[in-house]
Amino acid sequence: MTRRALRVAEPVLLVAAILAAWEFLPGALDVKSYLLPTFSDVLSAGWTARSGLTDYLWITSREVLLGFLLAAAGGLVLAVLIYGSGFLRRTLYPLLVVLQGLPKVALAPLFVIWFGYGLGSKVLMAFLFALFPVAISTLGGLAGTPAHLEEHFRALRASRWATFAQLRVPYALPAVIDGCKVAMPLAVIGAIVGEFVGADEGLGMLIQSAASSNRTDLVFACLLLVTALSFVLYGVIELLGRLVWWRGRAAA
Amino acid sequence: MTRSTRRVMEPSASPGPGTPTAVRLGGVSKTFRGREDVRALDPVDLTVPAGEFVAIVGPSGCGKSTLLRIVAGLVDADPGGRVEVQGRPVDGTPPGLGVVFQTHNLLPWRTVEANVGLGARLAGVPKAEVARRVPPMLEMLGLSGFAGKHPHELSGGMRQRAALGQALVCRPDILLLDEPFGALDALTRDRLNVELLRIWQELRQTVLLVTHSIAEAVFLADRIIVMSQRPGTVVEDLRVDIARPRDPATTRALPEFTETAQRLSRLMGVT
Repeated sequence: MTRRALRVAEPVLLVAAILAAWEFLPGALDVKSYLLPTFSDVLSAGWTARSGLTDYLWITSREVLLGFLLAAAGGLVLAVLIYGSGFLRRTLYPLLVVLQGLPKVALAPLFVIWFGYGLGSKVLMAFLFALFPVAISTLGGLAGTPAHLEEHFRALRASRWATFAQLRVPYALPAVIDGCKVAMPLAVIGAIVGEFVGADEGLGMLIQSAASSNRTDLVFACLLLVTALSFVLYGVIELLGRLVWWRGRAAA
Repeated sequence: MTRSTRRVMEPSASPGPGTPTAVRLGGVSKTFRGREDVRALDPVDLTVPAGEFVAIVGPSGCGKSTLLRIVAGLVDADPGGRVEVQGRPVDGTPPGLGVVFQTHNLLPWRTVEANVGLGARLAGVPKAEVARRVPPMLEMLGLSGFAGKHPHELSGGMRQRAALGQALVCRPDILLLDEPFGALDALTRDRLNVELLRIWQELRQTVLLVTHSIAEAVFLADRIIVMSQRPGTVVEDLRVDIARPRDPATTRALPEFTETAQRLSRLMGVT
């Protein structure tokens, strides 16, 4: 087997082994199916409910994407502002850190009261979960520009704007991507938590209602979809990250 | 400009009394403030006429790089001293001054071509003009086949050439070189010195070269400034009486070369 094929086969085999264990262990250990349904039970429950599930997947995806994109944009802007202004570094930055310490889950009921059962409160939850990692990573990236390059740009008489746009931003981009990688799964968590607290639709809402009627097979079907969503979105960021291939090449 | 029309100077002739001054330092000292102050430079006086190739040598930590950064406006000298470039007091890097550091400072995400043109673009030279200047510069530095490559695809010597090219494309009147080939192997370094000499003999900018290599200084410079241990100051200012154009094959074999190199070694306490 070639090295490349092996690299693909290894994780596939691991997942297959886990799924096989999931399929056969509950029966072998005599675990009741309403406690832990087998993999095939979950698939068949998911297939039966497929039209509702795809609708809900789309609804949750939209909440996640909107929240994430707002957080990515907001985090970038916040980082640039905090980096660029001593005043904001002294005022906004500590405020951001304090707010990060606040348990965001506890805000969800408030958001439902303020913004209702629809899209708004979920997007806001996803946004809040994802904002901080993007902002902090970007800030670190901007501040991490090597001193010798900063000095070189001064020696080239580069303007403040040129130094920012042509040196600091490209330098920070790999860190921005890292921040997004942390933030994306958090945005999924945010949206799901938002749906737990109050929603008419979405995978999080379905998990909640299916669990309350002991439909664990449906709960697991939702969990598989949420996991797949996170995985795909993470993959997209991973691909975007290849555009900033110069990571680690800078000191060469 | 005057440089292109200027006749190539007589071999080893020092610039005449009518030559304008490129760099003038008067009582320039530097103390780095910190928990413990570090005195880097005792007062230095130095006048460099336009077109002169000056090497500054001295032991590590003698403040020679600091001196160069002061001339480049990257480090502020202690109050009281005078730093002038082309007759104007230095406040930030003066226009018409190019700096090449020991680390190449190329941007990893830009091609060699874009890196070489970067300085001129930042200085506001129009795109079309930069596009005209870059190819001959790459040609001169032997980088023509590498225009579209990125810095990590080049050898260390080629990166330093590209860094030198970036400075030269800006057509500086004064070139400050801070051990530009210091991190390279001896062979590459010798080769680049020969190239640097060839380029300089063509363009005749004022050059201030910081180096700790005696051979490099004697081979390249009209004049050598020897600095003491920290806090550094000028202990010797000697003229290199070796005819130009110099040539790598013969110059190093001349008795003047050996004699100057030995004198420098004694001054620096090597022998």
